[in-house]
Amino acid sequence: MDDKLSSPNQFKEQLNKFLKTDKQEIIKSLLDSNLTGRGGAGFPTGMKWDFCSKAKGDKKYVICNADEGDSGAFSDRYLLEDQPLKVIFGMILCGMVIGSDEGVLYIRGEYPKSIEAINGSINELKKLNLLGDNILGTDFSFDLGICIGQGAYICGEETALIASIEGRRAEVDVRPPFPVTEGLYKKPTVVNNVETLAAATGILINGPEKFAAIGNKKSAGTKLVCLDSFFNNPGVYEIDMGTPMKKIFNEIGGGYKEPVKAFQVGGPLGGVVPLSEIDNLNLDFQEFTAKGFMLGHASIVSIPKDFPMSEYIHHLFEFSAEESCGKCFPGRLGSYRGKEMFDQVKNKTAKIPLKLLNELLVTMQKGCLCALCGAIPTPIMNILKYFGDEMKNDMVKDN
Amino acid sequence: MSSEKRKIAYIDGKPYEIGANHTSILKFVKSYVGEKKVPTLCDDPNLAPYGACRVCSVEVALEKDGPTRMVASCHTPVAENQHIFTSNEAITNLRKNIVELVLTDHPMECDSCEVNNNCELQTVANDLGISDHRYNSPKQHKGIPRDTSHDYMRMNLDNCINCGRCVRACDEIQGSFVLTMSGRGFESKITTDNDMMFGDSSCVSCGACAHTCPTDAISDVFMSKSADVDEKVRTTCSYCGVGCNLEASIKDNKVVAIDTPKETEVNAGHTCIKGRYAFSFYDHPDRLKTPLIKRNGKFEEASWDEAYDFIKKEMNRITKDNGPDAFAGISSARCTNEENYVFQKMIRAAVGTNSVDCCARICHSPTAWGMQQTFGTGAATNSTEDIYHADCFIVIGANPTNAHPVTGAKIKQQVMKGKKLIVLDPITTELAKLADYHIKLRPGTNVAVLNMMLHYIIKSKLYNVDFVRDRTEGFDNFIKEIERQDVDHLAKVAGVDKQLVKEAAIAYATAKNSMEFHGLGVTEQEQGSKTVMLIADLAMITGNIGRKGVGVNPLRGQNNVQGAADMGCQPHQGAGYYEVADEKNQKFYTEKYGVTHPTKPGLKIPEMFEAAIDKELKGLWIIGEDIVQTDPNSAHVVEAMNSLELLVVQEIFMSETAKLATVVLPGTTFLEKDGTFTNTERRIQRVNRAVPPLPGTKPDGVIVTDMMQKLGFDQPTYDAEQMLKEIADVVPFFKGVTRERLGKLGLQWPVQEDGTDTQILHTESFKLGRGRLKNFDWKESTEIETNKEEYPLILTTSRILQHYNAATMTRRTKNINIVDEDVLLIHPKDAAHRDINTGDIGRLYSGRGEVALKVEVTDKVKEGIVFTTFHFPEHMVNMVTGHGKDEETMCAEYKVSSVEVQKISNQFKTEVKPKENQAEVS
Repeated sequence: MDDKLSSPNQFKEQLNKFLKTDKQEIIKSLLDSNLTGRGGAGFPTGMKWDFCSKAKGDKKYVICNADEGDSGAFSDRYLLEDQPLKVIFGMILCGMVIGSDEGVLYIRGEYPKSIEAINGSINELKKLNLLGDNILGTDFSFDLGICIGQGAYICGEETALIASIEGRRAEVDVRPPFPVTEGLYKKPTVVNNVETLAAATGILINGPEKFAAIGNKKSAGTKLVCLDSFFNNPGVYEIDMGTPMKKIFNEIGGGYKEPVKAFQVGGPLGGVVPLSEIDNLNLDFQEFTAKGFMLGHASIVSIPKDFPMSEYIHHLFEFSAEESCGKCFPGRLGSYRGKEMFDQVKNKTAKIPLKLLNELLVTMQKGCLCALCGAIPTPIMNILKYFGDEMKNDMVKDN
Repeated sequence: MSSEKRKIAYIDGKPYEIGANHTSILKFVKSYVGEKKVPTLCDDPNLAPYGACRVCSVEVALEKDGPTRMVASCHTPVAENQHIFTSNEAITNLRKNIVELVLTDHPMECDSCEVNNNCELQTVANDLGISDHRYNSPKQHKGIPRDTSHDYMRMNLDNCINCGRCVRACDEIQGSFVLTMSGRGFESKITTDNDMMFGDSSCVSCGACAHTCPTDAISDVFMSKSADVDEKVRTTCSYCGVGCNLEASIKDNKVVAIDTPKETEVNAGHTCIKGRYAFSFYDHPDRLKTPLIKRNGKFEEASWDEAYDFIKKEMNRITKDNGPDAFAGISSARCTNEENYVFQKMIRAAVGTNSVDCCARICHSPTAWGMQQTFGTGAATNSTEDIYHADCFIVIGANPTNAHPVTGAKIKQQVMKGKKLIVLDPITTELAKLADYHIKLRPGTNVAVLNMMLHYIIKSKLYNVDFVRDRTEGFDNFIKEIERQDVDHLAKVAGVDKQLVKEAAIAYATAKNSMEFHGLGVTEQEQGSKTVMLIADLAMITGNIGRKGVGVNPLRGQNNVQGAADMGCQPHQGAGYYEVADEKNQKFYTEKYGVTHPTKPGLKIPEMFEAAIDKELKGLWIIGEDIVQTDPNSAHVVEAMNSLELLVVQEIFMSETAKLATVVLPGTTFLEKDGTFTNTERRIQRVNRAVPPLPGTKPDGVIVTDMMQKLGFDQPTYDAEQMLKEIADVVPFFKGVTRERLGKLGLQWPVQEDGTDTQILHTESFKLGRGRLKNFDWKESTEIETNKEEYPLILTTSRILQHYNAATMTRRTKNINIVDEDVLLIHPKDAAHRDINTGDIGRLYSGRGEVALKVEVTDKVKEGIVFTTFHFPEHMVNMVTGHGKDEETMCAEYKVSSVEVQKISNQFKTEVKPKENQAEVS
């Protein structure tokens, strides 16, 4: 991303320009850029803003989902701490487009520096009348608040996040109604991920063509990718969509510090990609999905060569058992029963009942209310497919 | 015909039309292929879609032979051309696997479970063919101590499946937010308030949680969900005017539990603590089981024949010596239509006087009268169901969450969803807390505030020009009078904020549909009838009448007070509201009853008291009305009763009035009789006998009919169905009513000959043709004018949720464990002047009498106002209330009594005064 928005002066200049821009033009820019949600779900951002701008409501909200909880993901943290103006700018423009005067940044409590950085920026912008009532003397008012997450992974799910802001129990709500028509306090709401908002800022300032020119229509523009410390060059990188994964891992990441056999890409709910498949993949949402993986938020967690895969499955089940909101039956019970299954493998008190495990995974995948427990089967199924041999002595096939 | 194109979706390949009620695939499928086709666990049609259990999953394709997707049918909308598959291998496997997971954390002790054979989990598991699970030693939530701390509710979380229905019922239906899910994931569990015991929580015992719980995780002390009963009898509640449908579980000829049937119109599957749980009075040891005759100041047991003969002799003596007008009757609004009808017939046709009245006199007589003057019909204009279609509510002088709990809960639900609410009340009621505009006026100033509202609407030109022109008369004068009102002065006397009243008036006038409810805070005042007429004005000038979601809707107090008046238990109007003074009507009744009908309008209840004291009234027959405890100025009532030569009281318990009787006749409760009640929305509903009358008692209609026959009147032996036929022949708006036609859900009068009923009155025109706009100026209550110097506080009385009126019924249930005394509420400033603290015993007194009550200091009441209930004969709060009456109808002015309060003693140290005027039962 460029650096046209790193000082309040630049912020003011750009805001001045966009305050005079037609809202439809802004939506069109976003649509033309082919930007899709960077949080993992991949919904076209321009469409979301458009829906919400058309939704009826005396009050509307913009929410920035900064509850970055995926293991190995730290791109949102980078943006919040190092590029806060880009995130805030995206929120203000979204507010202007949809007709909202209030935004909330839901930031995970484990990111104290992010909270500090955003808070500092908000205060500074308010002093300069770049936030608050009648921004730069126009009719447009927009204020921002911060809501600090308390450590529940489920709050990254938009309906649970909304419940959490409202002070309700953080449970996933049914959709429809979608937040764009009935969100925070039942008012039309856009919930965007940090990276999406920052990307929108870049697109609007630079024009949509540049972004759209990268990658393809469904996986356009650039994406932040987080490489963990198993890489020689760990860190967060902005990478063009469509870039071969092997280039990212070997050239940008500089290869591995120690032998690895697989990567979990896109957080705990993303796929587990064996090393052998990396050569066949490019940085592309659809390609990952087609092969049974998920690019998601594009965080990379490396799995060392000597790490037992049944323990990794145990970890995944344990994670979803711990973090499930407890609402849907397959999620609440299924993830706990899965954890118990692998507890018993770990304690050597029982073997993996493969048939039951497979049925359990299908049940969770098809039955769960949200992606937390509904997508946890993805990496587990990947492991069973690619690393089944490793566990065959721990399995019984018949029940 | 609708010009809209019919929309079709396919269920398992067959096309069906998508209707307006099909808000989800589940509702669509259930309406066409039955309840059983798609199993559910977390769904309850009365609750919002939740999507937790996922066993209702179906596969959906967006087009024929298109790719399918598994979705939970309860929260997925049905869309045009959708292909829905309700069952295939993948779906069945998914459902089985989910239910199997549920069984991994379930005790599986069905045989010993309360809900065996009436358990949704059991049914769903059986239908899917699952009885066990395959998981190796799963951890279970077992051995959680049962919570038995509540007087009614029971919690057994071992059997909880975490469907959240109880939480949602508590939130969405009752709006109490007591139950909640705590903890995350596998550890999540149901708790009450902040992990309090159920009995210590803020639970209002509505039972909605137990009703919806699919297992026995939440149930009640009556085990109301047990299938181990002989039969279930559907009937209608005898507590308030809402008219909830109930289902009584019968075992060995006893009512063991009460729940609500699933299919209901009035109560939408909900009831309150009284309807559902406070029924054990019906076979309480205190029930009167034999007639009693008082001789030498003591009651002696008598046979029915002895009692009848005694009464006959006395009645004949009185009427022979003094004429029929020396006798009068007070009917019971808790009895059936049939019983009320036959009672007024006895008084009019067998005795020969029009002096028959009922408790409507002291509750909604101003409503009936006022609405007759303005619209032509003295009954609620709309239906309870209309609550769902209103955008703004105005609740005047009513506390529905306490006194009409199911209607109160419905209003609350809508307000929580964002509908506007205006409350006029001197007390911060539960609804007032939620209100957008709570106008905390002082008692006696309803007319002042309504004039202010009318003034602001007129001044802001927010009246409905078309409606006023086409449907009303008298507007020119009305507008002049309203413009003349001095709002500053009115605001001052009412003690309200002008701006707030103005905003409320604008909110009422500008909402699409504004619906009015009022209670006795309107009627039980000197200007009660005038207030009702101003409310009618408010509705008429804004066009809020004659369509769905609007109207003027009195919340009738007693279960059948509407019916008692409909049936003619009023001294000026006979059955069907024909004026008795009119010759044409006398002829009509004479023809129907076969004897000459009396011509002179009879005595109203307060007039009966005066006449008794003046020795003009010698005999009185009362059915099920404890006038000593409930009518104002008890000492005066007692004097009247003691002045009578014959007082016959038909009762189920030895009430304060029965104690003064000459003859006591043991009647029965609603559970022991057939008949009909008419609720607050004019709905005539069946009362079905659940159990036989207790030995020694008789249904009240039988007693009256027996007596008529004794008196030599040609009245056929009592039978509720036959009696209803007779009513349909006399009362014009009952024309098409038959017991069979009433069915499960009842009919709203007027009912045409072909059985068509009426949900909304005055849709095309008023009964009077045009609605009549009337003006009245506010006037200070005589009670206050006379007594304010000596007694500067104003007492207003009402009921609480747990008890009902004289509490003869509720005191004989476990409700007494929850609330066992009347408490006096006083504002902190008034308390400070008098050095009174919460918990002290205060002396509440007026020129009429005094009572000692425990005091609660609270700003729930307005400064200058004190509040209490009148449920307990130990207190007899009506010793204090006054003689004030509505100017037009003589409805007692309970809501405005000038009183003073004095501290008697510090917390809890009080002597109970021995009760006076009590007869003993030998």
